[in-house]
Amino acid sequence: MFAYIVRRVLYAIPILIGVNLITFALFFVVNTPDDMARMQLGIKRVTPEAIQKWKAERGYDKPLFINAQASGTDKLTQTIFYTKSISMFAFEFGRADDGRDIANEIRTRMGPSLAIALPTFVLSLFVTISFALLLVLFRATYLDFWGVVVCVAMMSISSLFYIIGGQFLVAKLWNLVPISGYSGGLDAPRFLVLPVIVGVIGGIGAGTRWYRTIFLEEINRDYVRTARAKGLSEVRVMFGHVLKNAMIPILTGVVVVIPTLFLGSLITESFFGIPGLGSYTIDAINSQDFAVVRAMVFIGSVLYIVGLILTDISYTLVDPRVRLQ
Amino acid sequence: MTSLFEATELSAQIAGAHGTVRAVDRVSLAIERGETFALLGESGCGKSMTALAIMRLLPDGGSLAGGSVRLEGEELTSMTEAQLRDLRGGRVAMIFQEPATSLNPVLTVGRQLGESLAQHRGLRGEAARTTAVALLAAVGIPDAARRLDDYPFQLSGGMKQRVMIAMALAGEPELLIADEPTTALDVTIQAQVLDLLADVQRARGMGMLLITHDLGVVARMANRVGVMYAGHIVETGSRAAFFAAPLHPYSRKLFAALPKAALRGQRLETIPGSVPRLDQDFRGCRFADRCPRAWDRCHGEVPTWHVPAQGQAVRCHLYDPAQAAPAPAVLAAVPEQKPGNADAPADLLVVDDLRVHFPVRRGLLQRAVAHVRAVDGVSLRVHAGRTLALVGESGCGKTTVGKAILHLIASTGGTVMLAGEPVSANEPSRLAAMRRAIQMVFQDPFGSLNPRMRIGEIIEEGMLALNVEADGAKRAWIVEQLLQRVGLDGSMAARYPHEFSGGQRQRIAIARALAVNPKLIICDEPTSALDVSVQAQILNLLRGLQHEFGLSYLFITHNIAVVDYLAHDVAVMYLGRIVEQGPADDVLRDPRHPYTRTLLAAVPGIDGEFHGAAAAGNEMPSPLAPPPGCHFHPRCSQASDECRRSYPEALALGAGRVVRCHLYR
Repeated sequence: MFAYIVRRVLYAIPILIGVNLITFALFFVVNTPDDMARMQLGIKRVTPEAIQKWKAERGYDKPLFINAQASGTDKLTQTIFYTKSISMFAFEFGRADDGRDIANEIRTRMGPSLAIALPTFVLSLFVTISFALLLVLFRATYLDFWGVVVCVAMMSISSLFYIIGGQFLVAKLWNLVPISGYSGGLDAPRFLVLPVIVGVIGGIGAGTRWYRTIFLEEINRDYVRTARAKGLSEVRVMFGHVLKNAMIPILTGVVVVIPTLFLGSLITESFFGIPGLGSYTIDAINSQDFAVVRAMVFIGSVLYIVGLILTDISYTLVDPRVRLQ
Repeated sequence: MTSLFEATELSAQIAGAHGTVRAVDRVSLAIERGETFALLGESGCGKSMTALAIMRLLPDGGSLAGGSVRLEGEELTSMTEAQLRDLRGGRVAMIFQEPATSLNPVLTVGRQLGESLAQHRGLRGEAARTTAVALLAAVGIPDAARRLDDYPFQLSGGMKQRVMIAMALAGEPELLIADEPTTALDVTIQAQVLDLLADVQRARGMGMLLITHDLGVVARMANRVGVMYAGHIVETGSRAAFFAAPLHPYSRKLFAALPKAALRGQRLETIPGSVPRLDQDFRGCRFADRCPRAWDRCHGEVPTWHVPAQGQAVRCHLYDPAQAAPAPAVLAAVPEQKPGNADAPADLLVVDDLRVHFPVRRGLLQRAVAHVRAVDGVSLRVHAGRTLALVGESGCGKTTVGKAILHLIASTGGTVMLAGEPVSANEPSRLAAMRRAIQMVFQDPFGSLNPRMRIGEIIEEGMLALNVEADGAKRAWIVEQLLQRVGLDGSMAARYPHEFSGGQRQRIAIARALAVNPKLIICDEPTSALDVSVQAQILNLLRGLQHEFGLSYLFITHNIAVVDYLAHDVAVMYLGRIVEQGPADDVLRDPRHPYTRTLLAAVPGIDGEFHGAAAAGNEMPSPLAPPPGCHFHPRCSQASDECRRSYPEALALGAGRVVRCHLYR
């Protein structure tokens, strides 16, 4: 297993280089360093000198990929791509283009992101799996049929509708919680409760349907018939036999998401005004802050790879047939 | 005194998309203590549904539709679900066909056994563990205490079925329902499991309802037999009476469709048409449309039970004492000449020292640390116009040989010569020529045809790929001819595979192989997924094609009866090597290698006489670590020290026979 993990970590290096390269290329297809400087400095008092100064201070005065004027290895190293990328692999993200320290921002914004993402994730999982089990226990009845209809309807509705609808109903009409905003400490739950509930409701349709399919597939297997032929009750068949086998496909989808919970949600955070990493990324994209965008994409990739490795490890916990080599 | 078990007029139906199907229709049977009642029938006849109806475990949409089921006089059909749960796995236990999927893959053997013990005997903890070990030991699992913590995937197929039996015995049942308990197992393992079932039945005085499609298994195990067709029982009788003289025309057809040596060179009997749909009300005999002896009455009046002889009952108008049936049409098989025997056979395919080794990769750099010698020095000759059967149990490497000959997998060493020309994967032109000359028909007709292609396209594809026929209209004509030749309608080319039955699909697969005019067809278990009556059709077709086109077959199979009927030569394979080969008659009548003898002895014959239990007590070792010396020595009763040391050289016994065994040095 150790050898397997080492190999997977080694595989991650080319993946991360590739992700970094693509982010870099895409960003500079639509932007030039001059655009970035104008954006940051503001349109009014921009002079060519100011732009040059801004670029020199932040290291954007070099060529993008190949420095034709330099010699030897400097041809490649004296470029924006190289100088900006190499520190990334040591997890040193440096300063944002507006001058603030990125690592520090990430540390402070991680809390609010997790405060929303973690409860949403856990509650969603619990609610959707419970609903799915319910539908499967009542399979081929009207409850199952209408349950699926409701699920399809719910997954067809845009998540924006749930957010705006929730804000309008709960916050504006009933005045139960603030529409948006965030504060730390004991005051936080007041701000968190609405985005979490909206997040859970928005995921019910797709989640329930997905888990229902998994359970239905398992419940028609031969070993389930064997369990019933032993005289076990339907509930024991469900929880003792089906659930454990169904965990295998469920884990594929679930474990991989866990590390990326740190990144928060782009849409939820910006709509509810939560100062998390999701809204940080959105703001950076809007202000063309390359340092932040690149750092967030990089961290996202790392966390995703970690999620995939965790998924493989979790298989060994639920499926005795899997041995990592 | 009441019977142990009695089902009277039991009916079950299943609601489907196309109306309600009466899968079990007024089935009556009785089983005494210590007796085995075999329910015999082909797939889809309702025999498994009968078992599930008794257990009230019908699939979704299924329900009882009348009748009564009594265990020691106690009515089961009116029991509540809670009472039924006490019954299931307790007084009535069940084992299933496929041990690989019938055990929960993520729970240990001990846990699964423990569930039954807790449910029905209230045993938990140490007491449960002790009992579980005793049960596993009782079903012949060595080192039972350690096996308790194993997961099903760590056990072989035969061991899994033993675990299933132990689980069934855990509730101390009075009636055991065994649904095709050995169908998924190799014949030597089948023999062991049948022995075990007979032993535990005798020791406990259980009644047993044995569901099977295999006449050999019935002959071996049953006290009484019921033949099931289209949802109801058409004939019952004692084993002796049934095998001496089956009464119902359907039963007789089943016997006649069995391939055997005595029928060599003759057409096997087949049953025309297909099983009627069960969503209708029958006004006549269900078998009438396919019955060679049916007359008006059979179509207009449902037959009742007649008892023409002591202990035998049949549901057929032929046996109505009040009315004499018309004289039977003469159905004597017309003997045909044996194909390909006239000329001195030339070698079409010569395989010399073929090796296929699969690397086992481990560690950080995925280096090959060992090799699985799936095929380890196999030499074969297929004569023009003749059939060579490659026989062996699952895992012996016989399918790999077929694929390696076609270069569907890369061989590690050895040569393949086709009509005197060497075939090498390095020369694309030669490879294409070889693929034109050798085609393959696969085991599973449901998996081997692309479900998204029309069957015309499937048949045509080979011609296109190998540039056999460039003209589209000509190709369409060939496709039509081929479909007709394999017994289908030429207009079916536009249909998709799912519209066909298993037997029809295998015909399509054969037509596909024929499309490029091959000289040799490698048939990989082409009939093992089919019912006996359908198997007979396919074997007839293959034999007819050989006769007509002078085809050669390399027939890969585990079914000795098919070999006996069809093959001219036989090669017996064990753990990657050929242990014995020669003309079919010689090898099968006078086997020399102990493995061949074991294999032949394990086949249950329908003559009712069993040739003694298979001597090989163990199962086939892993090809990853074959035993040193002769691979067979751990299972061989005649093994000597020499056998443990060295693998025997090939020894020619004359008349084309070769055996690899130290006994004959």
